[in-house]
Parts: sequence; C-alpha cells; structure tokens
Amino acid sequence: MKKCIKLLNMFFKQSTEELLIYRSTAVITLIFSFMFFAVEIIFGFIVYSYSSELAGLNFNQYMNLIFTATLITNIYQFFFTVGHENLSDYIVEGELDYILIRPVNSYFYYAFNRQDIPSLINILVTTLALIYNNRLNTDINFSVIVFYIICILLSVWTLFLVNQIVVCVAFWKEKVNKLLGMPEYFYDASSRPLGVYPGFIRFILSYIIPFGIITNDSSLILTERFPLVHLIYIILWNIIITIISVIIWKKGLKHYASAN
Amino acid sequence: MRYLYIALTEIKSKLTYRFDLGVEFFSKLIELTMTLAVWNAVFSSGITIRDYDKKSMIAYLVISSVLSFLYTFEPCFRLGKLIHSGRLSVQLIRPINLWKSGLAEQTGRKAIYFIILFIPFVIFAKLHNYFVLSIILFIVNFVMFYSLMAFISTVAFWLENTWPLRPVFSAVYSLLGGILFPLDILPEPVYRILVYNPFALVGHVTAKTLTGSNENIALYILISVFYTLIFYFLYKIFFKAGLKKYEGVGL
Repeated sequence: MKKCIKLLNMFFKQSTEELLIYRSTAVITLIFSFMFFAVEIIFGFIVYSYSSELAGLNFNQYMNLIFTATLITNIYQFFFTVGHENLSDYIVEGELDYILIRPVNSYFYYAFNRQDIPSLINILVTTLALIYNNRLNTDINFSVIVFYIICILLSVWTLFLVNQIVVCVAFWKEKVNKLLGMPEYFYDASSRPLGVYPGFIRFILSYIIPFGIITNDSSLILTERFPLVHLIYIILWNIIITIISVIIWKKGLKHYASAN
Repeated sequence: MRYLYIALTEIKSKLTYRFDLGVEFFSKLIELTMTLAVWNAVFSSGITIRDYDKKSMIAYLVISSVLSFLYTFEPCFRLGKLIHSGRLSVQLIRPINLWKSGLAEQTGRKAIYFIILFIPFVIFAKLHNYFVLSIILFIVNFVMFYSLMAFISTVAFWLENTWPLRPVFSAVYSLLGGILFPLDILPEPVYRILVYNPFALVGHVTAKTLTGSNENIALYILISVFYTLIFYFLYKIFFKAGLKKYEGVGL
C-alpha cells in the first residue's frame, strides 16, 4: 500500500513537471474542454427554447445531466486519459518493455501512469456549474451528496473499463486510431436523455455499455430517486468487467512482442 | 501528375485499412442517431420550428452529417507531424509543393466518400435545378476548407503539440457549421453573422443548397473563393515565418 501511494505521488509530480514543459498544450486542452461545455449548454438552450420538456426532463434536469456527464469525463480525463492515449502507441511501437520489467502490477501502473492536471480546473468549473444549477433545489442533503459522489466514482471506473478494453485491441490490431474514439461517441450519445432513443438503443446504452445509466441515473439523484437496482447492476458490471479487462490485458501481454 | 500519384497512394492506404473505414462510418452513424433522436423528441409534439417541420429537419441533419465526412481536420495536423518527426526537412528538399501535396492527400483520403456520396448528391442537386452551381460550390468549399486547415496547421511551428486542437475544431464545426441544428433557427441577427463563417459555408449552406432552399449559391461561391485566397496567402506568410524558426536535424 505504501509503495502504491509513493508511486501515485511520483506520477503526480511527473505529470506536474510535464504540464510546466507543455504549457501551451495545457492551455489549449483547457480551452477545448470549456468549448465543449459551451456547445452543450448552447445546444440545451436552443432545444429548450422550442420545447419545455425533452423525454420527460425539464431544463434544470437536462443541465444536471450535461454537467454530470461532463464531470464524469473530466475526472476520467484527470486520472486515465493520458495513459490510454500513450498505451496504444507503446503497444504498437514495442515500448511496453520498460514497464514490464518493473516490479509493479503493469495493469495498474499503466492505468494511473499520468494525470492530466489541467482537468482539475475543468472539474472545479463543472462542480461550480452543478452547484449553481441546484442552488434552489431543496431536496439535496448530505446523504444525496454522498450517494451522488459514490455514483460518480463508479461511473468514472465504468468509463475507464470500456476505454481500457478498447485500447487493448492494439495488442492484436495495428491501426486502431478510429476505434479508440468509439467509446467517446457512445458516451456522447449517453449524455442525452435516454428517453429520446428507441428501445434497442436504450437497452444497449443501459445494459451492454451502461454509459446511459451512469450519466442519466447519476444526474437524477439530484432531483429524483436513483433506482437502486441500477446501482447494484453497475457495481456488478464493474466487478465483472474489471476481471475481464485484467484477463484481456494478460492475454494481450502474452501476444505482445517487441524487438528491443 | 506527381500529385495524382500522391492522391492514389492515399486511396490505396484507405482501402488497406478497411476496418478503420468501417469504424469511421459507424461513429458517424452514432453521432447522427444522437442528433436525430433529440430533434425527433422535440418535434414529437407536432410543432414547427421556423421553416422546419420534422421531415425537413431530418433531411437537413442527415445531409449536414454526411457532408461532415468530407470536411475533416487531418490537414491541420499534417504539418505538425512532419515538424515533430523532423520529416519536414525531407519534404522541403523534394520537388513538390507542400500545400498542393497536402491537397492531393486530402482528396485521395476523401475519394471513397466522394464516390459513395456522388449519386445521392446528384439526385439532390438535380431535384432543385442547381446542379452546376451546387457542384462548383461543393468543389470550392472543399478547397477552401483545406486552405483553412493548412493555414491553421502552421501554428505547429510555435506549438509543441497540436493534437488538443482537434476537439476544438469538432466543437466549433458542430456549432458554427450547423451540424447539431440548422443555423437559421437562431435569431435573425445572429444567423446573418454566422452564415458567412467558413464552417457554415461547408455545413449549413451546402446542406441548404442540397435540400433546395438556398437561392444565393453564386454569392456563397464568391465568398468561398475569397476565403480560399485569404487562407492561402496567410498560409504562405505564416509558413515562411515558421520555417525561420524550424530546426531539422539529419535527413
């Protein structure tokens, strides 16, 4: 445990140093996140200027959904996105060797290998937007906040698992650039009210790739009750998929070859 | 002729990685489904938004989404990759023009989409008697969009990494290009300003042309040509300035 904390501390230090080297990149990354945020808010305003409800959600609930989905993405981005971006390149270019010879768990080493520090600002801004949007909400109490945080953390792990499995395809296929973007498309689709989709898409986004549950139901905790069955389902899904992703990782490592 | 070979090589490369091509189509389909589902829910109460009913909105969104296959941001990162890897030095000593070879690459990359989209394009264009003008607008817009991307790509001389720009463009294109919604549902003064931006020309204006609800095609062609010239000259100026900063080691 002590070793893990030391390692995490070291990763954070390295990430901060990289941030200071690539300052302009960090600024652009920050701007793009804000732009996405702005596009989503503008889109929401336009849609709700023509309709008072969208698939049963009022404007406030819709904004909660957008902010919750963005918050989950930002936390995922902070912890995992840099590692995932590097991983497929390292697999294809044979640079994984340097990790494999270290006396650490390679799966978790790669998962937490780098933090995207500018995302911390995005997390802060999204949280403030959420607080502002719920400033008049009298249903929020301590237990709701705790429940909401638990759901957000579970959601981040769900997002990580789907991306991790997709990145591992690089062990078997050479050019996977477009495939790596697929979870993002599914996630974007899930950041809309699930009720707008036909039944089979709702089923896929709820139970196969449960991004729909993690975004929609997490945001509904703030205004309605969260279906406990879904929470249990997400916990089970995360446990099973974590095991599967570790198996895929191990099988991938067996398949991996380099000529260093 | 040499640029034709560059384009052909790109077509071959695209056909080699068919899995990638399939995934690209599938991702666009997800994106389109998402937008259509939201607007379908908005129209479910039977309302009309400005001139749009449910049917015309769906036609617009499908066309603008299909067009976005052709207008992508790869040329924006080409120069950055060359600078980062030092391969720019090799390109500079070759008897080719970097701007033209980039255009040839982009044309080759999009050739398959051109072929797939050509028949529906002709059907739509012929339906509204704007066939020749539509084709000209389409071609001019393609070159204009490439020129814009090539011009922006010159920032790579001053930035270490240009990849974070990609999502910025996606966001700008979705909003200003009218991919998420037609720009003419915005308040009139806002629409009047936005309709002449380069992203709107390739997205909103072309989609409106193909749905037969655009009568100022000649004006838009002129604006697009004007933008092309501006972006081309800006590219030249910035490329020249950037080269003074560029240091390549080895060949």
